[in-house]
Amino acid sequence: MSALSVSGLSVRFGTHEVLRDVALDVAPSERVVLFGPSGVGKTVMLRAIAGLEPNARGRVLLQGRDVSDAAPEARHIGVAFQNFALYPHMSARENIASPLRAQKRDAAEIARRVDAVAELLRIGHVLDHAPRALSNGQKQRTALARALVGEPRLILFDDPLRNVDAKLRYEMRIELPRLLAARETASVYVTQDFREAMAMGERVAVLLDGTIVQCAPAAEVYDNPATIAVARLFGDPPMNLIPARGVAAGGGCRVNVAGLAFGFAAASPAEPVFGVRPEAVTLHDVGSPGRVPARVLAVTPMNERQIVLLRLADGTELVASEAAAPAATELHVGIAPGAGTLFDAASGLAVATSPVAEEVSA
Amino acid sequence: MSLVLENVDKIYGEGSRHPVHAVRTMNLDIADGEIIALLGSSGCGKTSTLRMVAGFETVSHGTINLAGRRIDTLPPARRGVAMAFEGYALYPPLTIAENIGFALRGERRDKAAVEQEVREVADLLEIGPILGRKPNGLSGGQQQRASLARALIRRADLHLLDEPMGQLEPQLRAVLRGRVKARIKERGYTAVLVTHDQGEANAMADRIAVMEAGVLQQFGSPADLRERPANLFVGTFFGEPPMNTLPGRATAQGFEALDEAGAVALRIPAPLPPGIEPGRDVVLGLRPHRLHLGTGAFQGEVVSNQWLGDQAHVAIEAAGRMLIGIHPERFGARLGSTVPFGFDPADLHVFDKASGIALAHGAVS
Repeated sequence: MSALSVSGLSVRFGTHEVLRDVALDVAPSERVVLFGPSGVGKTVMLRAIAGLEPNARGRVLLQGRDVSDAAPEARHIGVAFQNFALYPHMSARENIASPLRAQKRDAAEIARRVDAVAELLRIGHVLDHAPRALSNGQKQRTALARALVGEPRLILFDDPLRNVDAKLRYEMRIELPRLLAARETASVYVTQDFREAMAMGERVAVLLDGTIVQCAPAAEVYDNPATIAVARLFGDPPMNLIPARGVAAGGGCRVNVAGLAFGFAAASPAEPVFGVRPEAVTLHDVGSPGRVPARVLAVTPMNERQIVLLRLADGTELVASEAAAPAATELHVGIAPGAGTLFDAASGLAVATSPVAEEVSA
Repeated sequence: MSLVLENVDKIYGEGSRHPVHAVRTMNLDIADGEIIALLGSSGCGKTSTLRMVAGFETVSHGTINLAGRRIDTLPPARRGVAMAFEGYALYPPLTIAENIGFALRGERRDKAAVEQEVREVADLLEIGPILGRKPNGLSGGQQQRASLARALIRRADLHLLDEPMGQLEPQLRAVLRGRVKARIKERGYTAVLVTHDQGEANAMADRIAVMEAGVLQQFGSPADLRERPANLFVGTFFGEPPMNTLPGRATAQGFEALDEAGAVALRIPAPLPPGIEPGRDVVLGLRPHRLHLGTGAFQGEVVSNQWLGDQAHVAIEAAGRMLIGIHPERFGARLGSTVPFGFDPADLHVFDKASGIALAHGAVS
């Protein structure tokens, strides 16, 4: 039985429809990331699941139990927000204990469970401190401990690492999935950082224009984005998206992209766009079939990768991600075998993947 | 043109009971045509430094020379500096095109030529469609790009860019960074950019000046900062994900990494580099990209294995310590399994435990 099952969820503020007939299923102990740019309604969706959104219409089931009309506290969902939201007048211990107090647990059990979760999050030594005496990292851990302590079957995370420094963010990216797996807690995790989405989520649900446009394992969203918009948001640098020309060929189509040609096993859309990840753009020092000349405009390193901005003869700009900076300014580029996605610019949808490179005819 | 800061101090409230020493004895020598980044977290002194070069702050001690000419005594307008600053706003009554072309108009250039140049730099920064609009009502990101365009259109001895692309949407970032860098290089501009974002510094700069607590920690190429960090601060601050660090000790046989209880967790046989005597307390540093997974002399438990689309980030627990390794391909190990790992002693950084100063890069003599 699903830990969470949302169906027909709509949220309207006046005439503005934020969410439109949204469905989402989360399996027991599954981690699902809700991904999308800011203002797209991710937080609204979390609030609706938690029972905090009066304008929500639709059904919310927890372990098969319909809680659509239940009050927030009757849903027993753990919630961790972006801005910690600790009670300032309470110690860290009292903050963490607050959900158990609300459930009227006895003092010995509360102490035992708070100590256990604090140990797990390595904040045992600051339990008696007030929030103002905690570092940002400790505040965030305290807020997470409070969300975990009641051992809810489901926890909602509203971009909890948005305001913490890069080091802590990275630590939590490693730790949090472990913690949730160990406690067999299902979660919905909101973020607009695709790396965090890939690290945290077993599946990623991409929310755009009021609906979930793709919900799939993280690597699947990365490799095969369902739409141009997803391709633009998921990846850094994002996928190259190049307007192309297509003609019918065989049972499918042949697409010409800045001097390169690819065969796809699908009919060509009226306005084809060829998408290719920067990692799949290959650099060569000599020309050969399937490669075209290009000029290196600039190299902008990213960590250990070299991000190379290229300009092709027809003016097309192409971004490549390489292990080493190219030695020459003038070189040839190709596309790794099988890489590339064909999109339809009109509908925005991905039409086909796995192209076969073809000889360019004059 | 070349920019030289010599023994520059910035002390706010000098002579008062609580002076704030924002910048301490700063020395920088920037070559003609170089792009450098002042990198650090907020309050590190990078913005005070930039403001002194621009002339918005007085220099408490020391001198600043641009193209061989002392400028710290000149008013801002006479320093020959083009700027894109957060507080250096666009003129609200003028359109974006008029704002960008303002300085060129002042040079009594031909109107059509100015328009042509404005169009070109606007296209470069993808703000062509808003050239006719006024600044109010534009998004922060658009205003930022307009301000950057206004600086990039000018030929000046020095370009000062304060967080120039901080608000760029990620979709545009790679392309615009490349175009801006190409433009600066093509025209031979000398540029100083200030940023708290090491990604931006790494992408744009030939050399990076890392600042912390008003003190220049290191001034070097991105490769220098990665391969030869001057101290533990630079080692762990620069590089994503951060450097793995292990407290340890030098012995006659090499190095020992210690677990949290102080017991020996890993033994790393290596001849001691010169200047490190047995018994010395050290911190050992290893970049995640230099940790080899699936091969090596050590064993650890895989506690996390995350595929990020183009690389795998793997966390390994060995003797109570967690180490991060980056694998260029998917790493096929299940959580909880034990895998071999290792590293080349030449990739190990050794820092003095007490001072944090780097003692050796590469634990080989």
